[in-house]
Amino acid sequence: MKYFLRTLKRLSPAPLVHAHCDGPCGVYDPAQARVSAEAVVSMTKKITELERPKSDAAEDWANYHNTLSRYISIKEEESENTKHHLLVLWTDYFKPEHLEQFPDLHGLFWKAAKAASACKHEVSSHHAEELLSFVEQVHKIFWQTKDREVEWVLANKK
Amino acid sequence: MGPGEQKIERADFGFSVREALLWALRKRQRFSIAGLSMEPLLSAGEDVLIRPYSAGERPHAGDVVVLKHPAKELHLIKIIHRISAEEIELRGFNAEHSTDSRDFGNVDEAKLLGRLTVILG
Repeated sequence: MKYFLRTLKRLSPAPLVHAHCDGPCGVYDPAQARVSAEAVVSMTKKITELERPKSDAAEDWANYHNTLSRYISIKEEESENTKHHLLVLWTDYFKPEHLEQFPDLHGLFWKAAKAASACKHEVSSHHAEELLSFVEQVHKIFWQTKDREVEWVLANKK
Repeated sequence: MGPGEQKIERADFGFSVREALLWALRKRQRFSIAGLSMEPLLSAGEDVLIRPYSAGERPHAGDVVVLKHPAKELHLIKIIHRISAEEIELRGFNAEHSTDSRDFGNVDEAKLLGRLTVILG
């Protein structure tokens, strides 16, 4: 019987019928947004604390501008990544029954996405911390929907 | 009634010679499962047989059905979660990892190709 079925499948494959979820594996985790948001906080801090060269040496200034540009570039990239990871959770993971349980969910994601945009075009430690705190709220809601207690842990010590 | 409350089991869809003969007579359609939303009832790569609803027959909540996706050119396999005179609400067996009526809305009966009779494996 098994041999017959195997042969049948090989010689005459049946048309596919999809039992699908949009995420290919259903693996979602706000940790992705958290790591990016932490990077935004870190880069914002590095930008504001970067010391200007004391000399007029061209190389020192070139290095200064090079470092500053890299910090800015990473801050913008990670702000965008945070927004992307949040939007994936919002649009793909969360479902209407979660909204019934957490009526402020849409507002939270909207504010978080706005904060991510602000972090991208500003140098604002206030907005960076705000973004991280929105991600923390998403983390708490996310794991509640899975009936799991997962501690909010930061990679960077404050 | 939700899929979780209906106790749908693999044993309900065991192999039968009658169904195999009906498939040979082209009274059943064979499909191959792709995706995870019907785990653990149905796994990716398994073949199943589907019986079209006969004239006048109405689907029921709990039927495992193959349907045309309301917006895309593909076939889905889902469970009827609720049914009314006008529309049918579908869920995956593994509701947490399913794209179903919660995403694409309810469907009408004309979208259904038939109900699952046998899991060939």
